[in-house]
Amino acid sequence: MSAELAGIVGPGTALLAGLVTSLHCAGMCGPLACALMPAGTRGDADPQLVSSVYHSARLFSYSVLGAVAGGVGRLPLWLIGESFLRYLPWLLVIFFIAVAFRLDQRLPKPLVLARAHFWLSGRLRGRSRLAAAAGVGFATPLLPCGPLYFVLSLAFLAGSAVHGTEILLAFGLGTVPLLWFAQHNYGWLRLKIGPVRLARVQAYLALGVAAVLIWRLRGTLGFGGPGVTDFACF
Amino acid sequence: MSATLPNLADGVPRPMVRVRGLRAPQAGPVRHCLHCGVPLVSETAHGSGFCCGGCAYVHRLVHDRGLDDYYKIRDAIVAPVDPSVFQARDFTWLTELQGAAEKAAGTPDLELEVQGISCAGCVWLIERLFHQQPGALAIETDAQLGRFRLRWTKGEFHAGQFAQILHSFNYLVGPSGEEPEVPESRRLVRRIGLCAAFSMNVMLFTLPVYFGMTTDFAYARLFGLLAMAFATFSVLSGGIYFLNRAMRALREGVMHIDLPIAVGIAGAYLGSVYGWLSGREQLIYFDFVSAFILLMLTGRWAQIAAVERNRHRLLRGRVGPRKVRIDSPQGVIERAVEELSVADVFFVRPGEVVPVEAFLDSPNATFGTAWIDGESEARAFRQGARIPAGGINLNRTEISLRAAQPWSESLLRQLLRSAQRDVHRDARLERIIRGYLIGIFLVATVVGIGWWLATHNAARAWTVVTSVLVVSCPCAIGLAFPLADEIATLSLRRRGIFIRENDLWPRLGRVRKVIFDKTGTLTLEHPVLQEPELLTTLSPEARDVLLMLVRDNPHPVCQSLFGALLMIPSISRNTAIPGDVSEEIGLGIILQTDGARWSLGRPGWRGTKSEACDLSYSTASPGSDAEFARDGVVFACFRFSDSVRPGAREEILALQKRGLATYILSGDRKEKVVAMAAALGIASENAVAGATPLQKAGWVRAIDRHDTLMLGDGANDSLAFDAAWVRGTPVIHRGVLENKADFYYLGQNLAAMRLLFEADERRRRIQCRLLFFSVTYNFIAVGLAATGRMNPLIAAVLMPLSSLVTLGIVMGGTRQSDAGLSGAFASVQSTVSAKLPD
Repeated sequence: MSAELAGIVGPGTALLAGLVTSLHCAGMCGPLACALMPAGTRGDADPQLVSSVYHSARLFSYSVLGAVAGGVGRLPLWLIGESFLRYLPWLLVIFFIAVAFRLDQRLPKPLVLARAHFWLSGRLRGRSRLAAAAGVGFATPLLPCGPLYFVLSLAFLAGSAVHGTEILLAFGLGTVPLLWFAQHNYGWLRLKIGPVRLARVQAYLALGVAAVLIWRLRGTLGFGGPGVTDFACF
Repeated sequence: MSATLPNLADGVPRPMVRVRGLRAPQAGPVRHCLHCGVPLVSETAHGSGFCCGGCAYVHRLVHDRGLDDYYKIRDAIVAPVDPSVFQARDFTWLTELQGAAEKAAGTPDLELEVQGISCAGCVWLIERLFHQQPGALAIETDAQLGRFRLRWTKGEFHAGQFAQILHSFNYLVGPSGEEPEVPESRRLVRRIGLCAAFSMNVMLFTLPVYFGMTTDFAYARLFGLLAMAFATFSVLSGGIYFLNRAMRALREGVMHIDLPIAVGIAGAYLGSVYGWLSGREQLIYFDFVSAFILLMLTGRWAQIAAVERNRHRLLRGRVGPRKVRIDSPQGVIERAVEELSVADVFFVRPGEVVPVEAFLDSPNATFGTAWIDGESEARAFRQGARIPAGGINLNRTEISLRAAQPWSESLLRQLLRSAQRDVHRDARLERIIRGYLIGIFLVATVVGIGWWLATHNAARAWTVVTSVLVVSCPCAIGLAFPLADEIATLSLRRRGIFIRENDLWPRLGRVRKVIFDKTGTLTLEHPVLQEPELLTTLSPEARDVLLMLVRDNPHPVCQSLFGALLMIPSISRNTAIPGDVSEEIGLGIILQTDGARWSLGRPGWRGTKSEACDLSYSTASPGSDAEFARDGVVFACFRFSDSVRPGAREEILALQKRGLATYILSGDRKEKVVAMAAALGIASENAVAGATPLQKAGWVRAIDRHDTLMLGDGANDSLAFDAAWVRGTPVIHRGVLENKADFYYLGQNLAAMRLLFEADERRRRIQCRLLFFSVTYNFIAVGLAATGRMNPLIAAVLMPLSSLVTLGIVMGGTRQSDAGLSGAFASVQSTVSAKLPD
């Protein structure tokens, strides 16, 4: 992988992608993650423990997926020429614009994965909350999720299993804070911020990030400006 | 191991020795109660081996049931036995609960609260006693919450009987009520567990950096990412606790202890995330973040756990009478006390409280009104007399009364009402926090500007600012201050003093006036038998008869005799003599056996009929003397006195020497209150007598400048309690004041007051040392950061080092404090021993 690509398609970008799309996650995975939480302070399961188990399992699953994607993606990356690779960072711009306009929802969702997820959820019903949290966490990558598929495609281009792991792990980590907050403040969140407002905030954020990326990547199109290696974060 | 410590009694240094985990002066043999382990005070106690009749009684019960292993398991010192163990308790409510539980299908079970669990020994004892009951299947005890769940075989087990047995062992069973919330300390333990695991993982992925891993190593970036992931989990599961509380404090405009902690966590975490994103290694402090959160949580847990344990040691929500048995056309029915109407005839069992003002329907009766109006002597009433609300039935039999008012108008209801209390703000701590925050932000700003002016490198300036914010450590405030509080709380707990409220310590620092109630606070709950050796001169048969007469009798004189009898080793509580026990209300009790008529009662009565005596409305015979006679021939005459608690005068003197003004506030008669004030060295103008509960409250409000400490025991002190700045009680079995008190203590003497102030003084001394160290540490660490010499490795070494030193200061101070308290305690005991006429 070129230095430019490594600089821009790194865990930092994936973390940012995770942070931006966590607004989407709070709307999609949020209810499922919140359903795992104990109802009050009198139950036997501790909310912090449930959250920790759920997110640890989810990040582990993402990391494995990233490792597989990164490992499998080595070959096609080798086949693609260096001159084409310099345009790959524009995939990120497309990603953020797609997230802003909710185009990720139109991506084809493999039904088999969704079925597998629902089957697993059914099996976990009635088990302890910790077991359910671990199960749902491990199975989260099975959920049909546009942003995940985008980031997975970046992991394909990472060039190695380790880098693939980094990208998916960073992406997952970016989604943790808001989901965690939603899990512990679901009632308040549902009351104060509806899904429409969440989507709107996400669109503005994604467009903002896309604009910054375009400005930063203008050098790759011959408009002058900094090269990708000059970027502080991306 | 020995050391010297000034002896507070005579000023001569004495070598110190460690006795049962406590340090005490070596000089003079220190003997401990065989049951509770407290040092023995008087020669009588030295002779018997017990500090009080209650301990002697329970010790014998433990031995009789073959449970002596309890003394190997229990803590060195446990709470002394409450005098209420001699009084029979009504557990009909439990029998009803058991009946309801047995109606359900399957194995019946019940969840109940229990008061008095102090240590693992208590849990062991309760569980053993349960398994000795017929039909007992399983018991699960939650010592932290003071609850247990029982399972038994239907028809074989008697829950009421089991509760009665526990009561005789000094554990009081109560209904469970609503399921309590998981205690905060338990939730903190879970957070600590998680944060410890996350912290170890962060260390795992950070150590390679310290051991020389370079950034071009294949896994370096992944390790960094994993460290960030676990630090994020740490912040979310543990740090959020401080961040939420700091936000709340800011919204309320309070400089809370969590504010600098939250600033430290947020600053270090965000700085580290920035460092990770920008690839600046010198800004990454994830290991610091997770370790800091772990330490702060541990400090907070330490502060909360000890107080929570003391709070859960008491029954919750057991205040006043709830039900009353009313005579109705359908027979006697039980109703909520709120449903009692004027003119309803209702019944009060022995030892129970009259809920509303009422007219006596029974021919004659004796009532105790000490806890309602401060009158220490039992009062005899004739049929038709008006009985005050709150009077306690001191007769052996049930009494019937006619309600003169509904519950809504009852004085008792007004006294038992709980008042909301203002949350105390610790001005001293707020000043320290404010100074700390202003200082750190000021230094960070000045340093940032200085570096930018010197280098014109914004990134470099920001790096230095971040390192200043990260290494400035509020460990002393967040970890060591709470730990010092917790250790002081534990130290007092081992001496039978239980802190119930977290804000007691800052409140205590302002106290300048100490107000004592008289009856039951300065005096013992029951009158004291003046010549207990007289009992040993009685024949075994006479002693057994006397025991039969006084057992199960709630009258204070009988309770006193019962306690004194149980101090005699050869006496068994369950002695039974064939015969009929009857009572001549207001005169005495009679045991009619086949061959003799035994009586215990007023002088001159000797078992004759009541018509032969003149009963006065207001008071019983002068003093509390009683004659024990057989067939009209007196062969023992007992004298009782309303006894001041041992060492009360010395304790009050010690408080006055500390510059505290002392007062007596009583509902009792003026001549008695003034005489007691004179005997205790309290100025006569500081003795207030004949005050009603409302007048007491008004008086406290008038003199309170957020500097009063009220010590009381009865319902009549309840309103004054609400008005006082700090409140404490020596009585915890009535279910009134103990749930309002900031602290409570057990045992017969007043040493608790001196020990409390001693502990506070030593705690403050430790805090001063911590503050000095904290300022020095921050000066050095911030100095290094400001000059650009700080990096994550130095920070990683400095932080645990500073935490260890602060803990060392606390531990060292605590050892001295413990020795000091033991010295104070021993000197109190020796002074008391010297003064007491045995």
